[in-house]
Amino acid sequence: MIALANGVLGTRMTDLTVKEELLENSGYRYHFDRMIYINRAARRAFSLEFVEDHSQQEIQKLLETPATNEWVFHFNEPPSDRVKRELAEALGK
Amino acid sequence: MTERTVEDRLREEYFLLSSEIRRVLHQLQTDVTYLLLPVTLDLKYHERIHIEARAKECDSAINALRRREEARQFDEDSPTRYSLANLPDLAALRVLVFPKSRLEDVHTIVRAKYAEWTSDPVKTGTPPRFRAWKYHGFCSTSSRVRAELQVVPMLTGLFWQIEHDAFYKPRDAVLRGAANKPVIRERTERVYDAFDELEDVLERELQRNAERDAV
Repeated sequence: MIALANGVLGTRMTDLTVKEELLENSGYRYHFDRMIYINRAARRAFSLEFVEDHSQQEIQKLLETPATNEWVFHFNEPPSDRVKRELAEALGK
Repeated sequence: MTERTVEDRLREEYFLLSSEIRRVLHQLQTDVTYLLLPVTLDLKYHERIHIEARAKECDSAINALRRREEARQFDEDSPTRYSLANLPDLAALRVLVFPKSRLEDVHTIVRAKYAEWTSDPVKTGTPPRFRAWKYHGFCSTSSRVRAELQVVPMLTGLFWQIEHDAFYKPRDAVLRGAANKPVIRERTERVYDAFDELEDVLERELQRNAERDAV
């Protein structure tokens, strides 16, 4: 078997760990399957890629914006309406 | 009529590519084994070269494309965006080498044959540290199926097998995707570094023994 779990890399691990703590302290949990940080109560999700590519300050600012009734997805590439709809349905369960 | 999903289309594509994947893998494995025959026959008792081949399975290939999407969600409104032919490793060969002193020799032999292939070395950590050679390209038997070739320190390669099943593609849903969790990546880096240090110590011991025997 060949495992290719090794593509990523170069991101500051400590920085990432700090951002993860920030999200977890704000009620977000890592969704292993989707690789997103999700807060069902706030109806908001951050993709792992977004967390990697944005600063702690940027993420903090987004966390402080008020929650809405609609799901909000913080992705590097904004998801299409269909993807948003399907994700909201899947995550809302 | 029921709408065909992105996954349905990719399964059909895999069916069409599967015989080519097997042919590419057969060619690559045969070529590399032959290339490395002289150095393999020259190995000392404690030295190892293992060649592992794998054809990516259908579900694994589809999931590899899915992992390129944020939230791992295909956009069903854009099905033509996705093709298994975009994957660099439908057929893959990994050459595991122990100890590190043999690694450069093996890599030089293999790379000379596949000099045109795109190099994409595996680097991890901060600052990025080299972990293994990796390149991909096409074998003469197929212009559609890209193949990947890795030359890897054996300790790291064997750890990747455990990591693959435990964190990267586990059957246990709770652990799925865990390999990308920052805290696990950080700990994984420490394992790679420990292997490097262990190999360095072994190398020094072997060198010391060789010098003593020469006296």
